[in-house]
Amino acid sequence: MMVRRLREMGLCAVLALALVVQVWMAAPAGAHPHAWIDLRSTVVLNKAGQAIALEQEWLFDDFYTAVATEASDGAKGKKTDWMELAKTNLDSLKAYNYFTEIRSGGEKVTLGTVTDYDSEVRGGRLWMRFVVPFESPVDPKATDFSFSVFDPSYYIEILHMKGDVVAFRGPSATSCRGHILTPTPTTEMLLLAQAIDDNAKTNDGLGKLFAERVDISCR
Amino acid sequence: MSVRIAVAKVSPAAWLTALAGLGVLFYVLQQGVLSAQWSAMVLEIQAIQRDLHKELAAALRAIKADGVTAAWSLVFLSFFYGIFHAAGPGHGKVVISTYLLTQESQLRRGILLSVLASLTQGLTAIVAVTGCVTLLGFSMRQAQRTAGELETISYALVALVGLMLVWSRGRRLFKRRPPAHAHVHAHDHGHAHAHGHADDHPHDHAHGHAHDHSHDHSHAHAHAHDDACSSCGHAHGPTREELDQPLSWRGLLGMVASVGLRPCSGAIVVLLVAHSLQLSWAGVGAVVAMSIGTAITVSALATLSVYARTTSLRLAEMLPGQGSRIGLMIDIAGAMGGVIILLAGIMLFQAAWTAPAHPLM
Repeated sequence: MMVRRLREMGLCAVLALALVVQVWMAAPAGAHPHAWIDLRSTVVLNKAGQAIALEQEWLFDDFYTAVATEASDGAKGKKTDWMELAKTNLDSLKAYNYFTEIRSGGEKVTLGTVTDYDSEVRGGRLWMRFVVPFESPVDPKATDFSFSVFDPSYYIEILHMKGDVVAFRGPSATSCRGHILTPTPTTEMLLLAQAIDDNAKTNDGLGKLFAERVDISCR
Repeated sequence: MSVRIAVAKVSPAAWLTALAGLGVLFYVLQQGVLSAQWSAMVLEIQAIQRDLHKELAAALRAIKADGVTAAWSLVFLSFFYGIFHAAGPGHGKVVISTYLLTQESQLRRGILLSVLASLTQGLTAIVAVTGCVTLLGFSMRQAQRTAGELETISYALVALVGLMLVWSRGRRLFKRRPPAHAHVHAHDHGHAHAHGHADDHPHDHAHGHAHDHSHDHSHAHAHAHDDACSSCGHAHGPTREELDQPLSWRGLLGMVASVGLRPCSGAIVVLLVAHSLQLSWAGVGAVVAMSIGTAITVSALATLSVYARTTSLRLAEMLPGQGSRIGLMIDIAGAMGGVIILLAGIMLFQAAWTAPAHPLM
C-alpha cells in the first residue's frame, strides 16, 4: 500500500514538474511585437529649465506603413492623407496617454492633449511627430525625472535607434542629459506579466517589461 | 514478490533513458527558473525577430526591383522568421504542449500534430488574405481585422476541444471508479486471470483478450494496461498500448483545427505587403516557408512534451509496487489537461472578445 502510494506520488511529482517546465517555457504567452517603431525623443524645457513637454518622432516599420497607407511605400498618398492618419491615430492614442509614461518624484505626471503634430512618409516609411504636453512642469534639477514610451500590449515595440541620444530644446538645454536604459526583465517579472496578461484586465501588461526607460538629469 | 519482479525486469536502457529525461528536465528548469539566462534568451529572440522582420521588408522590395532571383532570399528569411517567431512565447504552443503532455504518448503523432497545426496556420493566412483582398476587395486594414476575428473563433474551438477531453477522460474515470473501490475482490480475480495469460502468451495476446471483454474501446485500454502490464511487472510504458486510440486521433484533429485556424499575424502582414507590391505569389511562398520554420520549432517543443510525459510514466512504472493505479493516474492527468485546455480556451476567447481594438490598428 505504501509502495503504491509512493509510486503515485512519484508520477504526480514528475508530471507536475513537466507541466511547470511547459508553463515556464511558454510564458509570457500572448502578445509579442508585430510592428516596430523607431523612436526619437526631445525634452522641451521652459525658460526656468523645467520640462514642459516631450516631443516624439515615430518612424513606423515597412509593414505597418504598407497596411496603414494601403500601399507598399506610401507612394499613393498625399501629405493631407498622412496628416489625417496621424490625427486618427493620435485621437485613439489619447486614451493610452500616447503610450507615454512620465515619472517624477515617484509619481506619474499627468499628460495633456496633443495639438502639435506632423506626419509624412520618409524613405518609404510612415513618420509622425507629436508633442505631448505635461499638465504641470517638472523640474529635473530638483527631482528625479524619467520617461518610457511603450505599447502596453506589446503589439508594437517602441525603441530608440541604436546609438541615438535624447535631445533637449530650450534655453538650458545644454545642461541636461538623458540616459537610455535598455529593458532587462527578470524571469519573475515575465511570469508576473504572464499572470496579468491572462487576466487581461490591466493596461500595464507585457509592454512595460520590454520598455526602455530614459533617466533625465540636469545641472 | 511483485516488487522483486518489477525491479528485476527493468532494463538498464530504460533506467538510463529515465535518468537522461530527468537530467533534461532539471536542466530546463534550472535554465528557466534559477537563472536570468532565460529572460536574456527571450530578449535575444525578440531582437532576432525584429531584424528578420526588417530584412523581410527589404527582401520583398528587392524582388520588386530585381525580379524572381531575389525571391530565394525572401523564402530563406521567411523560414528563419518562422523558426524564431515560434521560438517566442505563444498561446498556441501552450495549448499544444499541454495537450501532448497530458494526452499523447506517441512522438510520431505529437510531431504530426505540430507540423499539421503549423501548416494549417499558414494556409489559413493565405486563404484569409487572398479571399478578403482579392475576392472581396477589402482594404488591408479590413483584411487584417477579419484575420483577427478568426483568432477569436480559434480560441472558442480550443475551449471546445478542452471540453471534449474533459468529457471523454472524465467518463472513463467515472467508469473506472466502482472496481477500484467497491469491488476490490472481483477486480483482483480478473487480475489474476490476465496475469496467467500474459505469462503463457506473447504480450499482445493479453491485450487482445482484454479488448474482447470490455465495454468500450477506451475503457479496454485502461484495463489492459492495469491488468496485463502492471501486474506482470514489465517496464513497458503505456506508449505502445495507446497506439491507435480513437480519442487521440479525434483530439489531434481537434487540436490542428483549433490552433491552425488562428493565422499568424506576421504571415498576414507579409501577405498584405506582398499583395500591395503585386507580388502575391512571393507572399504565398514566404508564408509556406514560414510555416515550415514554425513546424520545426513546434515539433521540437512537442518532442520535449512527449518525452517528458513518457519519461515520467516510465519512471512511475519502475517504482516498486503493484501500481494498478497507473492507468487511473493517466486518466486523471488526461482530465486535468483537458481542464487546463478548456480554461485556457475560455480565457483567451474572453480576452479576444472583450479586448479593445489596438489604437493604431
